[in-house]
Amino acid sequence: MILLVIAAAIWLLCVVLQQMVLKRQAWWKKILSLALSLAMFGLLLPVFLKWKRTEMVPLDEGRVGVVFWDRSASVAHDEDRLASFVERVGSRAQLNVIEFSEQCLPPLGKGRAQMGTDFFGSLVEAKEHLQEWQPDWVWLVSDMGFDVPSTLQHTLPEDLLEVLDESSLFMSALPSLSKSGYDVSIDGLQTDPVWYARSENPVSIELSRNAVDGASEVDVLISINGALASTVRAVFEGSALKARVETNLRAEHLGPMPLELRIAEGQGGSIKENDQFLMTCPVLRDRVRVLRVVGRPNWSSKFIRDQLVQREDVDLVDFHILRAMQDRVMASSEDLALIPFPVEELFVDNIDSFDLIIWQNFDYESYPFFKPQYVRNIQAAVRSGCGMLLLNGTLPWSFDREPWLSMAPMRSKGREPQRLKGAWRVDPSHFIQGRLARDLEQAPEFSLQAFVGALHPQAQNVLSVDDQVVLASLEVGRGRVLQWASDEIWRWGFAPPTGHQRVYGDLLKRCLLWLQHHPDMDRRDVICPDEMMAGSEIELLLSEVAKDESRIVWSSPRLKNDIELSVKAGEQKLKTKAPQEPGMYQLSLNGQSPKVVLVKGLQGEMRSPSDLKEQWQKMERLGFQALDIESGSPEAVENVSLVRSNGEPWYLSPWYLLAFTVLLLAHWLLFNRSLGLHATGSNA
Amino acid sequence: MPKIEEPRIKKPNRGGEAEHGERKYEKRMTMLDLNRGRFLQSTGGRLALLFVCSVMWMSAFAPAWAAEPSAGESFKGSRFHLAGLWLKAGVPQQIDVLQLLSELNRRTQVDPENDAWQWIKPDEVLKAPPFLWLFVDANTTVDPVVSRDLQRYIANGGTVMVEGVGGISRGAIVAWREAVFPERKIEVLKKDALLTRTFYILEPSFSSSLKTMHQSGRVVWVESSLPLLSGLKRPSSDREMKVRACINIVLYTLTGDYKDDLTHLKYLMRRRKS
Repeated sequence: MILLVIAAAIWLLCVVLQQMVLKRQAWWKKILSLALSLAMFGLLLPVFLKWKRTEMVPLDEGRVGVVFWDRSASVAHDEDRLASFVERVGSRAQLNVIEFSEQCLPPLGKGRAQMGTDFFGSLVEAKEHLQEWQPDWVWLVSDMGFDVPSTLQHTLPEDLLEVLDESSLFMSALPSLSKSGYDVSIDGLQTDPVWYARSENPVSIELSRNAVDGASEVDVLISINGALASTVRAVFEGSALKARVETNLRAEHLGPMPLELRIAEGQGGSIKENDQFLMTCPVLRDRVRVLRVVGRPNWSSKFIRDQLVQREDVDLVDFHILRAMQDRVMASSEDLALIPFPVEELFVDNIDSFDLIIWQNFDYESYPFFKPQYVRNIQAAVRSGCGMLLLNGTLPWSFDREPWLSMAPMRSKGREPQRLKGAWRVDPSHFIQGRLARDLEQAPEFSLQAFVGALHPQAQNVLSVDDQVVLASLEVGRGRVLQWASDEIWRWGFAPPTGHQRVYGDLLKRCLLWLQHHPDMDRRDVICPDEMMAGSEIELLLSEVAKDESRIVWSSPRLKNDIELSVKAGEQKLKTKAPQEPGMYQLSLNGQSPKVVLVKGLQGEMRSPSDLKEQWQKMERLGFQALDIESGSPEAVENVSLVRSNGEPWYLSPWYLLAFTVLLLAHWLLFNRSLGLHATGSNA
Repeated sequence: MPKIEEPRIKKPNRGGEAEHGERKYEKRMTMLDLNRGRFLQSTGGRLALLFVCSVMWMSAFAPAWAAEPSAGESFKGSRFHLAGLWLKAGVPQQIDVLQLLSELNRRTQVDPENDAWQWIKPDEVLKAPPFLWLFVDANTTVDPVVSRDLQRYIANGGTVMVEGVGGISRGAIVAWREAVFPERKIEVLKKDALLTRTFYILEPSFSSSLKTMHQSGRVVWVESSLPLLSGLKRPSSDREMKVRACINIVLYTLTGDYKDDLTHLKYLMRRRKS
């Protein structure tokens, strides 16, 4: 390259000198001279860049070739076809065959035949082998039942692209199993990458069919979290093979939301596998609407408010009872800046609009205006998904009768608080984990007042002091309730000598996130991927070693009986296979804390044949040369030529020498003739 | 009907001359001393003695959780409590905090601790509860350690109320504060400021005697050139205003700016229009 730059500089100097010499000549001579110089410089490029001559050769004369052979479920595998192909192509070339499905099959990868297809993922997986082999050509043999990106630049790593740039890319078709009869498929779903809870989220469902002679309308059932959420009808207009239906969906709960689309029974045509589409969509909340009622203002209420107002994602509606009926304010109402507690507005009209209710030190039975119906409304809101944080403060109130009995994690009843002092103990399986759990367990002891009580049978101990539960949790319907038996942890939020301000903030934050169903705070008894392929081998990990013989349960409404796996005492890992039937499953340990898992079928695999040609066109745009699309036969080899470098320098070509000579001669004639004319003129 | 609770704070003994914190104890001992001879010989006295002995015996076998805090630990819960600091030896004689606590208990839902007030020494600022009532007089000097601790105390979430005692001039308070907090802005309480409407609506003529300093979006420093707490002891024409101002300040420290929440603003606007 440096030589080329030097040559270019010399050439430019020569051109300038030449133009100075031709200063008094006609303009066309100057132009002609410049063009000749430019052409001669062009002839220098093959010399400096060391271009090699290429030649067209039959494919099987290529030195190294790689065949990617599709072994996915949508392809009828034929060993004879592959053997014939290898015999035909590999007779003179060094041939490497890579079988692939979702991954490369052994010995290159760990993939399994009869699964979905991921050609580009397999290419990446085989990258190191391709770099080693430096193939002259890469040939894909597949039914094209995979997603094709619009460009390779952002799909494949750069070093792999360099290898592919040096190779010729071919593709040919294998017959797909999805060719028989009229079929309608769900091709995909377009929606926002993140959903916001309670907001309308636009969803666009794409369907296709392979012929026009079937029904033009199909119903699509949409399930969210395993429950039917909506039904939409897709209409294929006229002879269109594609249809799109748009709708809006609402997610009521936070966290990863399993979404299932399914064509109504009997309307999906001949291929069942492409009638279903499963995906997981993260659901967030833009702002959490919090209602807090404080019975008596105290330091705890102050520091909790400080924490809540610091959070930008919290919309806080805060009410402090500043004056009760018996208080003698010694002033007229005009001199008071107090407003009546809008109980009807909050606990009847708008109770459903809150995500979280904080009930702090509020002895509501002392207030005649607070009707029992309001508590029942709160209970209904919690059952339908609202979180609730109960803080026993300085005023006890009874949690030992309905509706609190079924809603409160602790049945505190006493009129006088107990005083606790001792080390903090954290239940490691709950939402207080990691550094916060360590900090709490190492926190200095301090005496605190607590209204302790018996745990609800389904409640869980989160935090305890002196063997008394101080923080307990309970799931009530779709909602969650946390109960603090003491409200004195504010001292961590303020007292500088303890240096635990961060602990206080973290603890409250985790409480709020758990109440909002944030996925990071969820208890995980069984740890496994959120999505998996039907029948694939998976490893289930328990959050802690099983103390007794336990059972892992797969349950689904479509299963007649749950699938149960037994775990022996002392085990923590279990290798098993995912269920064979695709769909949404609940995976739990002994039926507790179920986790929703998507077991995917061959949804992207069994494509509607109508989009096969579109797939081919996409692949051609990526540089793959289509060979015998109809048959996919190895006979196609006969018709293929390969452009191959023969190793000789380009400048040794006779055509190059001829061009160089002609240009040199033309330049000499022009230049000398011009000088001659010039000399004649000057002598006259 | 809601239960009416008696105020938990005992009326102060106006005739007592003892130092703060020991007043009730010393008064009781004095009465016992005076009547010791006849009291213990009477039936009531013997019953009382038996009762005292029983309580002592039971407390010896009381469960661990009922034990009082260990020596040196001053137990304070979430109920309102505060500390006082006079930056010189002793305590100002005219301070009667029980008046304020009693009024808080009688007029509002604030429920002060039984032992809600404590005097602290200048080197104990960082151990004080979240509300500190600071008294300065003309002889108060600027201690750099106290200044640093006050700044840390405020940064940790504390609120400081400064009151001049002993006839200190307004200029002297300003000079002292500017030495403690150089380059900090302080504002006279405006007519519509939150502190003028946390519980009572304060009259502008009175509220303008208060000055406030803000940090991290909240009032951290309230300064009064008029005697507030020290002016509650004697009946005066503006005593009610002083009580209201004290109650507003206390409620602001406990509830923050919640009166500025949209729900309250909407209601107050509606009430003004009607």
